Amino acid sequence: MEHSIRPDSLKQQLEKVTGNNYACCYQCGKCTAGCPAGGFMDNPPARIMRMVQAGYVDDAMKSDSLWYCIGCMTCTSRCPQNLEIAGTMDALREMSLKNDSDAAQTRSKKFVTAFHSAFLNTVRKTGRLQELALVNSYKLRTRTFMQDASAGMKMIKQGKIHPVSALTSKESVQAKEQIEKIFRISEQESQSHTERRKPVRRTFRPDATVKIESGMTIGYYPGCSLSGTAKDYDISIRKMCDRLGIRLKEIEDWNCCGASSAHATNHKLAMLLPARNQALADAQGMDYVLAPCAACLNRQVTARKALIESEELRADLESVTGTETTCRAQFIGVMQLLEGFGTEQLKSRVTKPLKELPIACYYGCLLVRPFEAMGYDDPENPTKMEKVIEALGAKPVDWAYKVECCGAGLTMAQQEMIEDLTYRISKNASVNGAGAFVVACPLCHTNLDMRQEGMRKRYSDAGVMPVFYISDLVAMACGASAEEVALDKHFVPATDMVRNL
Amino acid sequence: MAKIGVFVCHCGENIASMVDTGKLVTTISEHPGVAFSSEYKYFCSDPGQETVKKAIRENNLTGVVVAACSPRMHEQTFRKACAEAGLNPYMLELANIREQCSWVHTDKIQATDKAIEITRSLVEKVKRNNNLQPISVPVTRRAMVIGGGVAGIQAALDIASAGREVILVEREPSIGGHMAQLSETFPTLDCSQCILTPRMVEAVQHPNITVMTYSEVEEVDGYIGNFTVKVRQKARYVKMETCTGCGDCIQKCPVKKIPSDFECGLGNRTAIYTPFAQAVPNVPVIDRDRCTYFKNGKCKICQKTCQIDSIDFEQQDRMVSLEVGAIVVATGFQVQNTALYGEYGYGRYKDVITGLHFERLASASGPTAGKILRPSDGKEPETIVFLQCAGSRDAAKGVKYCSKICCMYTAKHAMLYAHKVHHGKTRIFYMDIRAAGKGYDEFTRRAIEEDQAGYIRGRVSKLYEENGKLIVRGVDTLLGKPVEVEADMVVLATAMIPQPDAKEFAKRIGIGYDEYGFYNEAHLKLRPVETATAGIYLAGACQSPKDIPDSVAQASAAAAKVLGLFSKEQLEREPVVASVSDSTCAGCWGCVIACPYNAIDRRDITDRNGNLIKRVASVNPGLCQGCGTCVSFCRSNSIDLAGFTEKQIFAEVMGL
Amino acid sequence: MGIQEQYRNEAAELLSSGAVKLVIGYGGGSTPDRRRPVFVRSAEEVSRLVLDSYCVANLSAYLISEGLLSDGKNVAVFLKPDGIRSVNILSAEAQVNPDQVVILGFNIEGEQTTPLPGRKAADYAPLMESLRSSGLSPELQREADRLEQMSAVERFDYWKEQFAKCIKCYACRQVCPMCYCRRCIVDVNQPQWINTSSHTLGNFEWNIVRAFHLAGRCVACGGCDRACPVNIPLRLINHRMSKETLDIFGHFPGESADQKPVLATFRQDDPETFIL
Repeated sequence: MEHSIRPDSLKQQLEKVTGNNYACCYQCGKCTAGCPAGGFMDNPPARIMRMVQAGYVDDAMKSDSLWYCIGCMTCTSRCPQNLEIAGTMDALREMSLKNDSDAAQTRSKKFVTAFHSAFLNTVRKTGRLQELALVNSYKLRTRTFMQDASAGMKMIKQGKIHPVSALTSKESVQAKEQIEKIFRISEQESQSHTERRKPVRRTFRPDATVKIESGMTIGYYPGCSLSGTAKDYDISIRKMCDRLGIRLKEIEDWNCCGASSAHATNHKLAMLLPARNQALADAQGMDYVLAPCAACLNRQVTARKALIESEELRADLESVTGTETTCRAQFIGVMQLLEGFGTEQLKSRVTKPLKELPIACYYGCLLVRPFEAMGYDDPENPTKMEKVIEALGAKPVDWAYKVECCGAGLTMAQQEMIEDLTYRISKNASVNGAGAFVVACPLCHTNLDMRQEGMRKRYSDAGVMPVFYISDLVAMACGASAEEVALDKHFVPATDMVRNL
Repeated sequence: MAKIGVFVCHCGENIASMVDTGKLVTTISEHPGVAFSSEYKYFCSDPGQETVKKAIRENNLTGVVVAACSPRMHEQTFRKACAEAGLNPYMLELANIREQCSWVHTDKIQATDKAIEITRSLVEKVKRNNNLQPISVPVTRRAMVIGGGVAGIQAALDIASAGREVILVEREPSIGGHMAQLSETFPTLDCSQCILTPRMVEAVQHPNITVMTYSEVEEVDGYIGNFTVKVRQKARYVKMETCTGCGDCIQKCPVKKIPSDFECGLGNRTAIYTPFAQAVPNVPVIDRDRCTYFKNGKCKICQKTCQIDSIDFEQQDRMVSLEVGAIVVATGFQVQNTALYGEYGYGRYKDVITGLHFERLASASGPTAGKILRPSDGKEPETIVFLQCAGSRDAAKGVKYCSKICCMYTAKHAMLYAHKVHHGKTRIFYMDIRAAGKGYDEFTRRAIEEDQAGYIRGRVSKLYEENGKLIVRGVDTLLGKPVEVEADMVVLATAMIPQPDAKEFAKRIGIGYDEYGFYNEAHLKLRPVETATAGIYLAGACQSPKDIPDSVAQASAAAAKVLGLFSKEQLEREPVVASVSDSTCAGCWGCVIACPYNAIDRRDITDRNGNLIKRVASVNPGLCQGCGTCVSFCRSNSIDLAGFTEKQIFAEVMGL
Repeated sequence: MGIQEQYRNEAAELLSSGAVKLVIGYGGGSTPDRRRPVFVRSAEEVSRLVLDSYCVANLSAYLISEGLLSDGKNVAVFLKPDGIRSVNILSAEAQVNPDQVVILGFNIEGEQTTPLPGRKAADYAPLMESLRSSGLSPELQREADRLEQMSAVERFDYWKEQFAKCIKCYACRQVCPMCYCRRCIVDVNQPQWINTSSHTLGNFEWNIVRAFHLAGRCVACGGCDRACPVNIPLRLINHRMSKETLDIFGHFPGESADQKPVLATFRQDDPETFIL
């Protein structure tokens, strides 16, 4: 059988979309070595890169690896030749879905695409993610009726999921025709080129700190999970801002940012959905917009950067909204807000210090990667969350899994992998002395919290680790009660640890 | 009356296939001033050159044009031929009808016409050539070698054994460099200090070598054959003339916990110290910043202990000015530390070390007496993981180049560990195994086949500490699977990088460096030990990463160049130098500023009574490299370049 | 007190105190609107000095007269900002010792003539900064813009027409303070790079070589323009060269006495668009 390096039009397409020059890959394997899902894949990332390099793009598209890839971008951030590997996986997924044949789909592909399709369908209909609709659709497609059944019941009881409003679409976007237009534009091919990537030095440089003061009013983008299954986070954020004297003004008519599902399957869609939010924030005169969900934040920041650079994207957005966008509004996360507020200011407001609680600060992947866009903290050993925790009186531990991905959006489709990943995170945290986690992302919270019981069933040496939101700790240290930050809505009981502060 | 001889070369088929050489010969013979013209297959060959010489003699030629290849190829060849025939060698010009004509065109008729024009223009030029004489510059036949590592020592010994004086300047208290820190060397597993220390002693005892340790070069002035170098001899606070190296002061010094640079921080030294036991010269030095007496005026135990009164706290730095004719730069390298990568811990894990740390552990005279022990708890590691390319071949975070020595020393480390700890396990994560020297590949195979070194192809993405062990997450790309190893110690093969002050030092002495700080050689392939600055040579790792055999070879090569330079009392330089016309020079100093070699000075012209008439520019023929920058700058046409004078160039252009 | 009166008094003071041996200034010309250079050596003669808005010539050219400054004594000279820049360049090129030059600085704006504070070239450093953005007069700027709009062929034809008029009188060279070479390149005849007869090719050679030799040194005093007997707009060529050196290398000639020549020095970040 002849083996030759074939110039492939599919490979050229990948080069155009990612900006990669695949000849630069010297197959060192660092991407595979760092991939949290690497052990599950048939063709781990380095193999995929070699397949593309050698022209076997169709084989790469059929690979199961694409559906284990979480999109955590560890590969790209560590590649010594500056190649966009995570982007290659995204582009391959998009191609795989376009050239799809239903025959011979692996379980992974079936489940993951079912999730993404279910997700995007509800977004298309209402502009926002209706979680119950998502779950129902997913379960019907994959026949996983029993998955998370008890957790689901609990969440309905807690009010995180509203069956009524989910079915009547009470909470949805008004300008539905704009959403539909976005989806239709995303079905077309993109004409723009990504800038060519070269093996050059990349150093992390933090962005300038924003200025947040007590008394300010800033925009608020809750995102779909804070309106649903992560309602406790929303409550907690509002309480925290209340304690810090910051007023929140929700963006009117905001839509779903697309999260992982858009990002993993359709590049244009992944840009246009958050671009619409940017346009709304600008039109409503906001300077800063708080997006507590790390995924939403990541999507918004990336979209804003792309809007500034891409004429095609700006044109598409204008055709949807009818107006030009200034890109003035800056989306920030809760960590950037706290950084801008300043640890000194924070300390001065602490009335109930956290009695030296040993806490592992879990950043997850999307807060620090890609580091050129996120500009928040060092992507290998961030320390800013620790500074906040210290200011609150707790004791952050030094541990090694700060930025290792928890599995993020594959929580439903690859439950087993999530349990393996969260086990390792949990083990390293407890070995280094932590008694609890603090997170700044609702998906990290779900994986570490909701899935903890399932994980502990499989791994007997895993201890119980409550998972706090950063806003929980800030609000409580500044005087709020556990109930006020909806601590009782967590799956792993968290109230005991913070009693008698 | 000009009588020019034109010799048209066929260069085999290179020229003859595209240029009608017969037509060229006939046409040019009719050009005014051409007294002789002929063609031949290979004029550069011996018989070819004989015909040229014969023609010169028989026709009393006053100038020669060889229409052939580029002057860069054979200008020297034909110059010698002219000289041997009694014609001044600078009455020769080469008309390039190969690289600039036959090799780049495809139409024979047009190429022939062009060749005729080129030849004609050079005939016109050579009519205006002058009988230039080589310029003699006196040579101070003493060399300076900067850097006392193995390369510097070798260069010094080679120059000295040829009977020339050498001054060896080293900034550490002892010579030996990094080679003195190594345990055993590949591929022979010779003990490093055992083969180096005899050389070190020989250098210091050699009658022609003056070793200046604890000294730094501060300024270099002058030019080839005539350098003036200022060296600062730092105060040791110990009298070198009387100290016997007994070591009593070191024994008694109360400040004992200073991390030793020589031991890479794995061991300690005292405030008065020699860097290692076999130091040459074996005279200690007081670390002023850590000495109790210098900090608060108390102690002086070393002085009280010394039985021959060799401690002198009043010593001052000494500035010495030295005249030398050639300089060999052998300043060496440093090893990148472990703090470069966040994914490898930013240097905070004690048991993650560099290859040089491992050398100190393995060395019999090291901080652990040759036992491989973990720096964190002193226990023997059962599994060691080696990471190759931890900083080299990394465009995004490290350096792009390959550090050349790490594949070999890692294999050596694996072998040494296997010999010392029989049940120990090694895992080596590599990208490629670069073992290209003599006996090198056999060495690595021995490590793999006999000492069971566990090579895994793939890079490591992350390593972290958990429960006193180091968890290493790598990959086996040959199997396509991620691999996780629990290690007791991790050795990073970090990059070999230039010294921290390499760039600043190069600027001080006037040589070039590349983007990393490695020093630039004159030509990467054909002149690897010379720099663009005449008289300054390179040896060793300061030029590029290399191992000991290559450093030694390069040092001997540099010594050969120096000895070549010193073989005559006068240095003959090409007379293609610029000169200023005093009468028309306006003294605007533009040429002084423009000259890249600082070869132009300002000169006062005074009358008999010492009154100043005017100030003009003046070219130093010893420094001038004949680049012509000054000529193109001068607005009043007051500066001219011998061999490429205004008249010559004008004639050449008009001859086209 | 008007500026003329003020400076006459000052000149008298400088001469009688022995601070300077000579004052170079302006005097009446052949018609009421022309001025000539005058050379005053004693306080009694200062009444010959005139200073008004017609005094436009750049008098710094006289500072480089052979032997003028070689006795170490000082000379005072009336200079506009362009002349002060000329003194800086001449100092940088070692033709003049700035300590020997006392500058009576003045500026002309329309009909107004105002004195400038400062007596040594170094005193005018803040003024130099503000001059960077100054340009040509409106009519000349219009003409320069017109040339800029033309295509290369059109521009070449324009200058061919202009240079056809040149009679190689070298008045432009004589009046220019920057043309101080003992032997001008046009006088070199072994080999003869520039034709001396006044046919168009030779005229092109002369004028373009002069423009190149002035690149980075011309202060736009307009002397060449005014001196040309056949009215070739020489200022436009020199202005264009100045624009190039300012845009590409950020070089503003004459801003200080230690400025290095722009064509003999380089910075690491100099643009290399013409090479790469």
